[in-house]
Amino acid sequence: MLSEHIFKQARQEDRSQLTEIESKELLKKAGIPVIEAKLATTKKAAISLSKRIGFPIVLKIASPDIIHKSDTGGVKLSLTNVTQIGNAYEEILLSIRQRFPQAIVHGISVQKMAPPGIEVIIGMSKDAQFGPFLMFGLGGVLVEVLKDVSFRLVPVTKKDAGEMIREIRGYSLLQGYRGQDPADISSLERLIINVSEIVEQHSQIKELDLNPVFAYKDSAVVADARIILEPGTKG
Amino acid sequence: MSKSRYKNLEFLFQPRSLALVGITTADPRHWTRVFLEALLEIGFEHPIYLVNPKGGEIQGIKVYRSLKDIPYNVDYVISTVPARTAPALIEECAGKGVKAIHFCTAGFKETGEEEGIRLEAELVRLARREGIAIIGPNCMGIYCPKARLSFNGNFPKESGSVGVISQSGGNAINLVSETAWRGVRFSKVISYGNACDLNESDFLEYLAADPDTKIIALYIEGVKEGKRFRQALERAAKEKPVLLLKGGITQGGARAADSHTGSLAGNEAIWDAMCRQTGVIRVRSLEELADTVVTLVFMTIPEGRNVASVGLGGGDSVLLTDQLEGSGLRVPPLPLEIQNQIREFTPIAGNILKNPIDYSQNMLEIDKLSETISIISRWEGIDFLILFFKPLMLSPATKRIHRVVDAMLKAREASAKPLAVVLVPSVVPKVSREIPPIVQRFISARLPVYYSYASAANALNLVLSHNETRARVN
Repeated sequence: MLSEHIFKQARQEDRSQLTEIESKELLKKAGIPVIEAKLATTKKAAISLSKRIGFPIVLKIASPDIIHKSDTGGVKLSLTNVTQIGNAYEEILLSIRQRFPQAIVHGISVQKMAPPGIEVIIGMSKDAQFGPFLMFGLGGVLVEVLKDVSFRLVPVTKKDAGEMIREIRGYSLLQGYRGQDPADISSLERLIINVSEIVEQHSQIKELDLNPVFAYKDSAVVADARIILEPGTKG
Repeated sequence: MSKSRYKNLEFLFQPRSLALVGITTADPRHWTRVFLEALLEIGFEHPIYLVNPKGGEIQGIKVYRSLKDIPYNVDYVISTVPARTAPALIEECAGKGVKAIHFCTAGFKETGEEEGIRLEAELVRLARREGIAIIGPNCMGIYCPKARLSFNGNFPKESGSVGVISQSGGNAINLVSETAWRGVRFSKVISYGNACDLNESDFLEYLAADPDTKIIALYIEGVKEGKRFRQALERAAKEKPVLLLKGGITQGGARAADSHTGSLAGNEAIWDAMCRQTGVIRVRSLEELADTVVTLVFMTIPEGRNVASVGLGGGDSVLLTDQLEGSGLRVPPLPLEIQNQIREFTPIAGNILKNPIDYSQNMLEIDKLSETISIISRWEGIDFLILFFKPLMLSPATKRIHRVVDAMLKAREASAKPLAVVLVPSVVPKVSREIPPIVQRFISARLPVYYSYASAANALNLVLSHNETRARVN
């Protein structure tokens, strides 16, 4: 398995959560478009990575102990030059050290700031009787407040994926609401099917959360990802 | 994924002899008598042996003191012995050729108590050792008219096309009794309770392959083998229509299911997803299950969603139409040329001839209604027709009520498209007693009968949606 080393690493460190960088690496190897994240362990490295990737840039704390990154000062968006990168790097580390002095910090992840698209989420969890299932919904307030989501059991077929997308009440938002670009439904379908395949192949994945995924008129890309492993998993 | 331990469950549905163990000798009204009554009523054609440690006889049939005293082999045992003596019964069955035991009695895993859980595990251990299959415990077992097996004296003696798998015995009795009065007949009905050995997947796989079963109705509180059940549903739904009523979808309902059959009820959203993925028709109540079964049995599935409704009452026309269109059916206006054809022989004025059609003025003129139905049914703008009436509106004239039925039955002959009847009952005593004979007249003409506008609209929508999904997939 291509991603074996990722699971092995987590197991060796006795972690049940993969970092964003690891999660995205796993997704990318499975053919899912992601906004790639690179780890910087020094400010200098963050700056040189930013220059190579191209501005605008997003910096995020890379720590297996911090789940809600943006609520804790762990994310800096829309950074457009090296000075901003340098400052943001230090601010993030300071904020995290103050709030979570015990947290293990791998460094700072550096990634391209994606152009705005329609935010959707794709999640996976396990049912005690029927095994893994996927969830699809629009991002942000629609999923949190209205619980406007759809579910299907793994394995999810193309037909199932299409129905999942069309079933949510907010589907018309994906069709180009008020002059917005519509989302490319077939890219989202492919993404859902791809996730279903990953889940089928890796029984050690307990939960998966792609949030947000940006849907564009001709593609879709995973902007943030979180994967939790089964406890005591054998990799 | 586990597979059934049995290649084929046919042996359950053709016992050559049967023993009722635990039947009460003293009190003829005792609940343990129901199986004997039901079997005598339906006419089980092979030996029935009765067993009770007290011995004696019931209705001239000898009561053996022990299963071992029966000088012949016994294929099938229906046990009404108390839970604590159930394991001993399995040991008694050794060497008697028993293939299956139906344990009716409760007091096992569903109690949630250590002793009940232990007893149920003990049943499974002993039954596997002896190579005996268990139905139950805590259930009513099998009704199969072809095999002359039954658990209720009121069930029809004739066979039919509907197979039922119900975790609850009460819900099985309710579904069979109610739909039997609407003309439905059954191939095999299985109430399986706690499912300690044979479970819902075993029965579903069997009915999916059973040539006598054309439609499968399920009442499930919780499943034993989730993944196998999903696969069984998927396979069955490819063969024939499968209807599923899932009990225990709310927190309180789940708690009730836990104490009823010891089932883990599971997540509502997951069950819904599974039904959509497997092509199963999900229903939300026993009434909806009954309405949908009636639709599948009696209705030639219409080719589309356009319906013409013809019946008695202006206000009723409005309410019926609201229900139909609210459920995604369409009630299109009749074109002027069709209206004119009908006006040639009826005096119906203006708007009430557009669809829905309030035929109150002419309902007693049998030939005119037939002619009207004939003309409307040949219009390409509709796919099926609904005839509706509330006998209450014609009360107290019983004769007029039956004359409307005459007209509707004649109209059925004249219709070129599928037809359904909505007959709204009443608790007004004079009217209520007229309802059963009217229903029977419609059933004799093999018409689907619904009891409310909402239930008709809903059941027709469910069946049409199912057909549309299948058409898309194929």
